[in-house]
Amino acid sequence: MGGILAILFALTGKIEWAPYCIFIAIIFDFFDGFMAGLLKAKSDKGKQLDSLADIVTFGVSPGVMMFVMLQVLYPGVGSINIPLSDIYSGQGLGSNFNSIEAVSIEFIIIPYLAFIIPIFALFRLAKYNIDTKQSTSFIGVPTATMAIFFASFPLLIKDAATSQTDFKNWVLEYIFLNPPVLLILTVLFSVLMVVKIPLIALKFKTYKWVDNEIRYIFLGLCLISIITLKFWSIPVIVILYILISLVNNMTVKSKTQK
Amino acid sequence: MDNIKRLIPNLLTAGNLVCGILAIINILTPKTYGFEQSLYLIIAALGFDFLDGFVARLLKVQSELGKQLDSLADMVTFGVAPGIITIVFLKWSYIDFFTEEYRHGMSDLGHQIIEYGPYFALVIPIFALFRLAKFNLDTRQTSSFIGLPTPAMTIFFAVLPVLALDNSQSIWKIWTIEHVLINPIVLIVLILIMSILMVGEIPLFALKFKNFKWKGNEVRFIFLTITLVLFATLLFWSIPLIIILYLILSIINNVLTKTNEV
Repeated sequence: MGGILAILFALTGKIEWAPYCIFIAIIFDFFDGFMAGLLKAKSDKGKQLDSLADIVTFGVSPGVMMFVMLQVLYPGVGSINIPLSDIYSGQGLGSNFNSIEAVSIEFIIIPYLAFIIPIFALFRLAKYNIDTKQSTSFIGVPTATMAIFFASFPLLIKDAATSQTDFKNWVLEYIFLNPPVLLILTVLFSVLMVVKIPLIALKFKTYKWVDNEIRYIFLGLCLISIITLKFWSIPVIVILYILISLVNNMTVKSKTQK
Repeated sequence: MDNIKRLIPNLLTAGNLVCGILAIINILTPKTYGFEQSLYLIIAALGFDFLDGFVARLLKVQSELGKQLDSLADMVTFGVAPGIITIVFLKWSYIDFFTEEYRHGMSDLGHQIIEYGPYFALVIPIFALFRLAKFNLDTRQTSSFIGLPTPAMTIFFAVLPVLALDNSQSIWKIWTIEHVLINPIVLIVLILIMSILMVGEIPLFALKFKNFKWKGNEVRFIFLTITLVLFATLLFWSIPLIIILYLILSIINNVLTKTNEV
């Protein structure tokens, strides 16, 4: 449900509401598994329902959001009038774009590249469903992580556009409103979803420090960045999560080699 | 080579997904022919959906992964897309139905119902979700379906707005448009009926022929003939009729097989 609303909002000109829908959907997604575990009502049907809902929320909606963002960045094509366009046209960057009258064909095609997000999410979710290995750690970035990463973009763009900080303006201009960077991120996360990198899952078997160092360090850093950076912490945490997992894999490997 | 073989049906499934997403995007971006284009996209998705299973069987690469991919893509194309198309269509029929004068004397509650009413169409994806989750686990549904298949429901809702935009001079078509299609109450009843039919335990025949003999396939041959005649004469107008016919024939078929068994 949250996912459908996110798609609706993204496409009807309220893209800044879409992220909240995805956040709420993630909470629901967490609770359905949690409640099922609590009530001991785990079933195959529940698992199926869960993954079917996931493809909408964590596959299609981030794809659609990216599509809308890319379409806005290639004006003349965008039949969608969204407030985002107002935001960026005030940035100086937009006025250059507006002067382009003839729209070349690649401008029309490029936004559709955002669809590789739902396609890879599709493969990832289908694989996950038939895979039994992923109980304590994930293999490949979970779709929800990817969704929250892209979902934070509209919020950050809105924040950066109204702020006067040099750093934020720099990020806005060179990352968020830069189609090649957006495309690279799209491809990168799509690939990360399906590759076989073990990532840490935040499931504690015990609460001892010894086995859970990595989880505690990660949670600690998460808390600090949420407090200091607010919404800006979302992409930071996602990147941190991937990096820490990589470090963890290397240390685990060197331990087993010894 | 074997890997490529295995990839082909999965790519077709991805095609189904992309068509579904395009149909959704298309309907939500203001365009004149949005409904019609979305209908074509849904029909294309239906083609992909049919082909992926067919090609997988042909190349003998059926897999659990393929089955999962298929049902996930179906959720988007045959769950979310019809829901969103119907929301937009309901909004549109609302504007036509509740005219300015009609709205004038209304309470605040009435205005709110008008504003949020179209989101009632979200029951379509919810029921489609349950239907698809059930279908994946059900082993009974090989030669017949239990409950209306989601693609049939999707085509039904995708074609309604296209019919409503048909500016034909025929009297009965104009009557249907005015009294059935652009009537939010009728639409809401249709949404409810279709949603319940999707999850209801009614056996429906599938168009899978084990052999091509008349005996044993009577229902399928009768249905196909009537479908062809209807489609040739009525084009898009035939689609809702075909779906209703399908339901009626299935029910007759059920009654007949039951009496045979007795």
